[in-house]
Amino acid sequence: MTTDDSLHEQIRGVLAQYGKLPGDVASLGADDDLFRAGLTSHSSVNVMLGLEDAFDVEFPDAMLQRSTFESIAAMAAALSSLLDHAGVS
Amino acid sequence: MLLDDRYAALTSGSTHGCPECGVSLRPRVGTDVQAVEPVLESLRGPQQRAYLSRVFTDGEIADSGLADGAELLVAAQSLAARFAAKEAVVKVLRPAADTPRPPWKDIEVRREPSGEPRLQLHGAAARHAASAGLTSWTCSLSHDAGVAVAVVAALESPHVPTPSHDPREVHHDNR
Repeated sequence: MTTDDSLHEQIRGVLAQYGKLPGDVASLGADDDLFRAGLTSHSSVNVMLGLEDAFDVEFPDAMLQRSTFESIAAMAAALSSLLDHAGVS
Repeated sequence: MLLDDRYAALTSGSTHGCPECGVSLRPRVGTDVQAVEPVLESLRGPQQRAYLSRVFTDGEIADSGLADGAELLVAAQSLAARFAAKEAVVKVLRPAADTPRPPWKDIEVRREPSGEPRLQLHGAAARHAASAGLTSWTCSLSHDAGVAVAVVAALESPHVPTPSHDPREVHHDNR
């Protein structure tokens, strides 16, 4: 499993716990629109907090936009940026 | 005035005029609905502290009664309405797709002694509203049957305030 695969799986875990999506998170593609899949503005807050807790990061105000949380791939890109900035591989 | 003229005036989208120059102020309205149960779950869950500190101001938390030992459901109803109000404000602001939304705590809804909600914008939300010429913000909240709803309105002015913020010193933007 590549680093990206591992990151995606961790994000799927947070989504499953906090996203309140009606379908199976495992069936979602990395680029699938999560808001179309049932993610709400409120559940996206809980997903954000879950990711912050899981990865020990904090999303800055500049990342507080819908596009950051609209897909697993988008969240992975944002997290990678935050982790790189923190010096965590 | 003929009935047709009255109807035309009501549907023109221009219901207010600037007292300075008579240019029409256009209303913008935003609405959002928030189920109470997810808010209640957030208050009961392991993320409670992070959730409250990230989304709600100390004043909003105080108004919900949470710190005074109010029933968690009652607090959740209050906070759900406020969350809906914050989302409704964003809909009025209409940030561009590639623009970050204002932090949740930059949008604050306090309760007046009369019980009415008072909407206040801070930081990035206030700056966005100012640059968009949005003033005269107002909101209405309600909740029932496990759902909270918020309606927010503001007036869009063609005037752009000068740095002195003296309302008499304005210049027209080419809107």
